[in-house]
Amino acid sequence: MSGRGPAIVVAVVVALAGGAATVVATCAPRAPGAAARSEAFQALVGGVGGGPATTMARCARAFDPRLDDACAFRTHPTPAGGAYCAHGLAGLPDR
Amino acid sequence: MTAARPAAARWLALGRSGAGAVLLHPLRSVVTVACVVAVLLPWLAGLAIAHGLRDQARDAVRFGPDLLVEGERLGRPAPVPLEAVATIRALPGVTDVVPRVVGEIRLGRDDVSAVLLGVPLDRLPAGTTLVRGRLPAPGASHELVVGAALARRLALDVGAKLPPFYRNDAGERVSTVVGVFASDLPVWSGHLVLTSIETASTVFAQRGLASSLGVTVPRAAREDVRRAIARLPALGPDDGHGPVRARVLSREDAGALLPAQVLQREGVFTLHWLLAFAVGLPLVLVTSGAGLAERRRETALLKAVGWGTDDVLLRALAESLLLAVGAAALAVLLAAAWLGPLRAAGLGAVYLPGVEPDAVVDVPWRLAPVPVLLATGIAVVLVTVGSLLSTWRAASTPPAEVLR
Repeated sequence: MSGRGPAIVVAVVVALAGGAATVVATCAPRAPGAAARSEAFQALVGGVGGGPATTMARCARAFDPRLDDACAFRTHPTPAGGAYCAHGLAGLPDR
Repeated sequence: MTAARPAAARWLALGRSGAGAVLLHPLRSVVTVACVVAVLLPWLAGLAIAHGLRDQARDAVRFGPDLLVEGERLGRPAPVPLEAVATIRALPGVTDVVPRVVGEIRLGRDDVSAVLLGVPLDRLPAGTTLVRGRLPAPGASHELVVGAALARRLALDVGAKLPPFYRNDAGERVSTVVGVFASDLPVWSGHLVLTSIETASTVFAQRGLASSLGVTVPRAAREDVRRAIARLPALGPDDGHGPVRARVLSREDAGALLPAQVLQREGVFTLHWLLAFAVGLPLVLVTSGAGLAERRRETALLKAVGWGTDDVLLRALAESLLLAVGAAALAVLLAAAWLGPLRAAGLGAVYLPGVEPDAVVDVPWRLAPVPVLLATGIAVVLVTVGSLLSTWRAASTPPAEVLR
């Protein structure tokens, strides 16, 4: 392969890698504005949430682990059935 | 020095040839990059959400009470009689006790799940930028601040009236939405309904009870107060069903509990990804070289014109590295675009049950360097193994045999 083809390939890869590095450098630390809003909200409500669900529709513990000590779906008859709760397992639909 | 120059020139020439090989087989290169991106993108995006969620969970612990007191009956959490507020406040070392009600309600024709949070309104600030509209006024009844996701789902805005959504023999009243939480708050605000503790008690038709008490205690006295509360014979007067015992959760306990749940979810997510990865592995190996007749022919031709096996392997290595680094970088950029400008469309609902596919509330995310470095390493190993293996096999075979 002659001409500028190889140089273009290298340039594209370097540009992609540079872009990715910039994105990671920018997005790795928590944004101060977002952190301040999150803290202000939790200060207002006295600390609520913390679980992987945004409602208490299936179990209160998934919304806020402090609200309950067990999930009803943990008693599923399937071995390790608790893991198949929609809140315990990423990616499976809950209905 | 003189020997180093030709060596460097040879390496550069081989690297250049490897970069050229990327363009020599554009379809193979595009398919290889697409396969690697398809494997890495969901994993990077999922872990970024897990990191963002963990940050918000830590805030929930940090701004929660020093000690959380709940009742216990039959070994399960039970409401706390409000008489316990005075009892616990009288314990030495206790600075403050705040009752609150937390429970699930259903709203609207579709029975949309919401979390009702009742707090003493005199504890809320006079104004806040977290809410469009205002907070419920002290003394006012049935004034609600609703989450952004809930407001959109039920078409609620400031000033909207909610017909009675609960049953109470003492009477049911129309509620007024006085505020809507901003959309850039933690995900748990999306379906939250904030109101006075009195209104929450009316909604649940449970007078004189709280879901929990938040106790403020200086760190030095925390353990003593915790033990003192746990030793209380009962949290309130006997209602005929026996005493309500106390269960106490310290901030430290909650600090271990909350991120652990997010971490568990992160682990399960990674497990899923590993399964998907195992399925996708042969695909990447095939597209990057294994079993491709054209790579065998190309290698044989290079050998026939005088290239050594090392040269051919170095050329394939350069090609693989360029493809792998390019694919990993592209996956990182696409993950950032998916989570940022596209607001995790489709992914938020998968990772956080209850978040609508077109999330109103911002899905938290943080692209940490470790998963990105791991993703790059995986991409390099995947692409390199596929191409180097096939190249080495082709290079070890006499060219005449391959080209026959």
